Amino acid sequence: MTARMSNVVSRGENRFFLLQWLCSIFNSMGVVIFAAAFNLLVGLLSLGDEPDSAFFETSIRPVLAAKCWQCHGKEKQDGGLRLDSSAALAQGGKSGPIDESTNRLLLQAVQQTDALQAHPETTLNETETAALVRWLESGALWPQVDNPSQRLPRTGDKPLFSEAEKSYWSFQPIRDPPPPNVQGDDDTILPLDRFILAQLQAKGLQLAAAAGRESLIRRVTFNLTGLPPTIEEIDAFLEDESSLQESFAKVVDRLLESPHYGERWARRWLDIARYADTTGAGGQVVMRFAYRYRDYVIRAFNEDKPYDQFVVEQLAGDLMPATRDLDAAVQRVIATGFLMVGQKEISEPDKIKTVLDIVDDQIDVTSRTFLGLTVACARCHDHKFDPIPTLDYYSLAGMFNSTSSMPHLDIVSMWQEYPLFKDPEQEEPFIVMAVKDGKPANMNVLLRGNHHTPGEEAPRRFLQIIAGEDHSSIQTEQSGRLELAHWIASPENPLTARVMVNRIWQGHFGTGLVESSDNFGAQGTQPTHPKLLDWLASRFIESGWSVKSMHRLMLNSATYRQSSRPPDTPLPSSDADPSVFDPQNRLLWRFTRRRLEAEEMRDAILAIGGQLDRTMGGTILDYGYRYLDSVIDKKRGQYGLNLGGRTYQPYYSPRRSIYLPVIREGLAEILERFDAADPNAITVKRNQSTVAPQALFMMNNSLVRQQSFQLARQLLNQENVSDEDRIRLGYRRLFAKSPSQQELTEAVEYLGQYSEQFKTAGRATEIGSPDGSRITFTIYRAAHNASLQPDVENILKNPDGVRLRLSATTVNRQRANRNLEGDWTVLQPNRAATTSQATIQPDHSLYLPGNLSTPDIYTIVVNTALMDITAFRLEVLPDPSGKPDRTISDLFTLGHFEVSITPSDKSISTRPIVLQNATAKMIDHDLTVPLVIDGDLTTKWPIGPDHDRSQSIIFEAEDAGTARWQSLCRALFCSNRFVYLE
Amino acid sequence: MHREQPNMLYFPVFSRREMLRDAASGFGYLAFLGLTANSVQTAQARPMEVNPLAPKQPLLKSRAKHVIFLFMHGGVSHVDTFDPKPKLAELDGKPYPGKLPLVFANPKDIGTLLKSPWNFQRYGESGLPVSDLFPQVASCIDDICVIRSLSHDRVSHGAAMQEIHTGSGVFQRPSAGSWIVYGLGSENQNLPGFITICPASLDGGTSTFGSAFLPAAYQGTRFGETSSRGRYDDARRAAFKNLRPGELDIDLQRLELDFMQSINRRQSSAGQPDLELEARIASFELAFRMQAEAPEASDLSGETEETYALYGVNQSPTDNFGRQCLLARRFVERGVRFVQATHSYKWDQHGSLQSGHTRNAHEVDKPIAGLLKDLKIRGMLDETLVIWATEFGRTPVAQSKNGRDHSPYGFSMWMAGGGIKGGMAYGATDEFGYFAVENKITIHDLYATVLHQLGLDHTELTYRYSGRDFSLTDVEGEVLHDIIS
Repeated sequence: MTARMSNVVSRGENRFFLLQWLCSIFNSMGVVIFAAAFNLLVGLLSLGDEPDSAFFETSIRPVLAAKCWQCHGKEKQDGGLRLDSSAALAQGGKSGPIDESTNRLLLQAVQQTDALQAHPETTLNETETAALVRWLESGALWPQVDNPSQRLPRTGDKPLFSEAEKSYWSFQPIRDPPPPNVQGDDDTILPLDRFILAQLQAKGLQLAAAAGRESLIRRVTFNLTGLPPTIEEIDAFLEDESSLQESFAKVVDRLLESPHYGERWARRWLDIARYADTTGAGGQVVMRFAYRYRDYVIRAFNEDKPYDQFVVEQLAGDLMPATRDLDAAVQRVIATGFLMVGQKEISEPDKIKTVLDIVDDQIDVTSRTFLGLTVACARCHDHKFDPIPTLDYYSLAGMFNSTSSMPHLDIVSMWQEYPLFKDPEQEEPFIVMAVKDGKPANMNVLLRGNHHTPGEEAPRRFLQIIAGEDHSSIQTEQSGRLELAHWIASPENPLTARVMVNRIWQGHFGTGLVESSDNFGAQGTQPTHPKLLDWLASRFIESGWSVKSMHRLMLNSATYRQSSRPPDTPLPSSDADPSVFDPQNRLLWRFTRRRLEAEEMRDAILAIGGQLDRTMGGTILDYGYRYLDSVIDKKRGQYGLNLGGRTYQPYYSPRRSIYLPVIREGLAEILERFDAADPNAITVKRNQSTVAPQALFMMNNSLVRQQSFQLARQLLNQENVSDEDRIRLGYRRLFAKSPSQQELTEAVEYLGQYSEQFKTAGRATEIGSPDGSRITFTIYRAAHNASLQPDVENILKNPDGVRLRLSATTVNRQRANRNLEGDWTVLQPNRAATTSQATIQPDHSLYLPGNLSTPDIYTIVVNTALMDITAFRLEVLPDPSGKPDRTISDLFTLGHFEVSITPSDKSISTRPIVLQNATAKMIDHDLTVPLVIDGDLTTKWPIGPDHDRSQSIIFEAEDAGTARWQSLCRALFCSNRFVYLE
Repeated sequence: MHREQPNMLYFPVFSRREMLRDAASGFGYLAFLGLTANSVQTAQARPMEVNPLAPKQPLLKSRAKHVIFLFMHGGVSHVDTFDPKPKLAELDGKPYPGKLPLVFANPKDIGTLLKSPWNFQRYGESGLPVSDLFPQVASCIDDICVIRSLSHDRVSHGAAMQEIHTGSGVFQRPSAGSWIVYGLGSENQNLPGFITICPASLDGGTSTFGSAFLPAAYQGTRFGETSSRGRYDDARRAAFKNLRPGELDIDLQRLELDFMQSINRRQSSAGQPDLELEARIASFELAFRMQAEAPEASDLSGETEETYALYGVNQSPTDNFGRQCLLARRFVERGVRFVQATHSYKWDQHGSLQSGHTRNAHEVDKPIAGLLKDLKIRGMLDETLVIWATEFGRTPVAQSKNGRDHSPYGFSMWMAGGGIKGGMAYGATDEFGYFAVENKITIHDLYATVLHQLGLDHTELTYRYSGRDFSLTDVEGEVLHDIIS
């Protein structure tokens, strides 16, 4: 048998490798999926055929169970072969997967013919043999795809949990193992490092050398604050003469005290908490006070709120014992926003279902966030893989169902929102979005999750696999959330501390010690360093659940300070090369290079461009609240608020990304593009994709263009310095590191090449000539998208018209840019072409009458003798005949603005003028946008007169001197060195 | 004819002067890995180096290579278009005899049975009836399979949109287009694999083309957007985002890119070649090529007057949707796997059914028929599965006097091409058109069939997320073998 088998096996292996390779193509982004492998395999086995499930269930499964599983099942796998699931079958035995040939071998085994009389202890009767033969010959199909670790359905007389389930590693108490002894111990090696080193040394490896100081400060500053280090911070670290260990510890302490630390780590928490500012699920109703929860999380991280307290507050802050500290009391209530910020279907007519979906969301977020378990899988049936019976689900559901999130079921969009107190100095009371306890009651199990088919009553209590089978139900007059919260936040709970330290580890090292940081159940992965995980969890609890002390412990380790470079020395063989046997760096033989996340990238680009607004907290969500009365439908609740997706104005705010509104139906483009967490899902680890649209964003999006321009201007503003010095400064701002001499030379050469090409390309180097020139403006007026009432058919209907006026200035560009009012020369149109009626007014404006039913394009031609024009201004003035109380729909929406110039010397043809660095004074609803960091000329900008105030936008004209520096800066922003942390 | 596209791999195309060096370090390294026994592990451990959009060969025999999904947002009334109900004329003005199911509108606004304002005529050899709203589509009826028994229970737009596009009205799931590109990749690496033309800006919005937990590489790329009600010029103004602005010089950009890549190359050559860094380097080169290809793909100026006339481009009121349909053909012709065209939120006639549906049908009838005819003339219909759908039908009873409310319990959609039988109706609703009663199908059955036509088994196209294997059809779905030719 052995000889024959091995022959077959090598062929099988080849095929299996091929499949795995296919799978790796199939599953592209950092998630390795064995399921796909067996699906493909099953696919090969089952081409064009459908499994006959009745036949399988009556004739095959019972035979397998009775005659095969004893030796080829869960407990025992003779020959490495398991026959208790399609996946196990597909994987085959120790010696190879099942393909056509091995299938034939199985057939022989069943028929007990040939050499394969391997089962003397088993006898199959004729019927059984015939059935198995028929089954194998038809391709050994299983009626459903299941999994080798899938739990078998429990029958009445069996224990609730198997021994294997009860002894699963993550359910065992946390131990406190001593750090192992390692070779070459010195005082740079901390206890944490010993755990890592022990496993490295077992493979003949050591920690990599420490990274350079520039890499380190950039790495740790992003990790803790999500922002780049400043030049001063870099210099202070480089000049610190104390040991690397000491000086780095100082940096860590400083960063942990930065308020930006809370913003960075809160964002990670909000990914998990599926935070958003709108309801989603097909609607965009604004949850106007959700942001208080976001600010609570930021503050909790900054104040290093003990994690156990953080857990209890979010689940049951409203039920905690009374306190005299008003601030603490308010924070606790706000914290329960955790249970409120999930997706809500605002127009589902089945109200009971709506409530149950909310309960399900709360169970899901609670169990995955704190316990790393997917309890919500047990809503309709016992958990397929984990020891979580449906009864346990409804035990928890009883607690959340005894909690009120939606007080008015007739108006589903009226979620729990109530005033906490009235500040005498404020006009409005302080309103929070938070849960309230309702009437406490147990729930019944709902068969198949359907509320029309109730089953047995589920006592309110905890998960039996952890709290013990049939532990008594909780004794409370309340919902039970507080008891649940204390049970989760207990040092005795084997999951809570492990899950959190693992997540902090993932934040610093890229991958958790348990790679499946969102799943500590049977489908999750085993920890790579189980002792380290427990040791860390013990330290965490010992420190009073201090998250900051965990950061110190991890960041001050030699493991963290490693270089990201692979070892330089050539290794004796590829067997000893960790990049071959451990390409994912799970043993931590170097630092894993990390790409900046979407928010880090945006914030860093703005910070380096000098435009980042570091204001903390509050909301910039503009939800047209002024007009709320008009969109409330009393029967159905608020409905249909259309915020316009990506063109949504607050996305152009210079605030840190965490403060950008999270609109469930459309994140800001940069966030969506660069794999930010989808607010509709609980995200414990983000995807990371590398696709061309990201490159297009970097090359062409106005955010990058605009901030490159700002950086270029900063570099040019350095006085009395050489171009080399400017380049050096640019490199240090972006990469924290000075360029090498060769890099400097290349960059200087590049500036020269750019200037040459600029001329060759026929770009306007100066605008205007003494002989006069003709300037053509093309203005695209878009349809405005802010209709709040879907039934208003024609949103451009507006009795009043507007006036457009164009001006130019020749003053210094930067001054022009800051000056919206003075030093402007109004340009006099001599021709204006529009598709609708428009007339040139005595003040040289173009009057556009109201009641426009369509967008329009205006082409305005002016002749001017102005020289060295540096900027243009577009004003929108009110119609003098207009009424003062204007409606919202009268905005003039600028869709596109193009300018070209033709000098009077006709030998030079018309050239486009590149516009940049737009600055606007606009009023949209109540929102004034003084700084338009977007600068995207294709973005639709609602501008328009509000009563008697005019609005204007200024565009600078490109000049050759800045253009080449802007290009250089953009190249740096696009480079790998900027987006990766070494 | 279908145009051959080079199957460009994700890596490559560096400037000439860099090529030799890269061949030695970067791709040479890859090739080396390919020859070692560890290649499989390495490829699994670092799957992101492999182009997620590379074309994949389906495991089953495929009948269709591409999908064009024509979506009518708002809810097209089935009893007024593809599912005639003489009973409504007979009992016009009488109360509905059964128990009214869950409705969306205020129940007190729900009135009596309302006969269709349109006549139905039989068309083609098959003689399938179509109402006077769609005379042009009706002229293609022998290529069309009308499904009259699609059913779900989502009565609000948002949930129903999500249901139709992702298979789940409750949970956030990847859109069908994302699943398909995940399964099959794309044939043209210089264009996105999944393009959605003027997608809805409300009622589900991004979920109609989102990738949810699938990698972002599979999400639909928006081509333009729809203003809330859909204006005549939405498609005319549509464009891909972040392409090189017209006023920026291409040679200057190339120069900048070369400089940037030289910084990158210096970093890569400092250590061992790193596939992740090289993938990002390559993505910029791909982006640069995409800039050249995308404008050409979406430029309609090279099309003939006959083609314009066929689709109703440059004519009122068909210009907007005509452009969308023509763009869909151009994208598919260039190897894009899944293209959606959306006729924006216009079909929601709670009132003014007659004028509203008449206006809407005028806007789309000719473009849709034009697309079907054009695909057929070019020999592309065999390989292109055209799906026409809406989020739900409308009630047989009136809302107020002259409107109809949402009704998802049995409504119509149709498919053509891609190996689907033409000239047939599948399934049926009851005599009033309220509930599907014969061959009732769900969206899962529909997508099981769509995947089947593309050579994919819906039970095997799975993705592991949060400890579970997900699929487009969840645990349901049966292939509708009766409608496959």
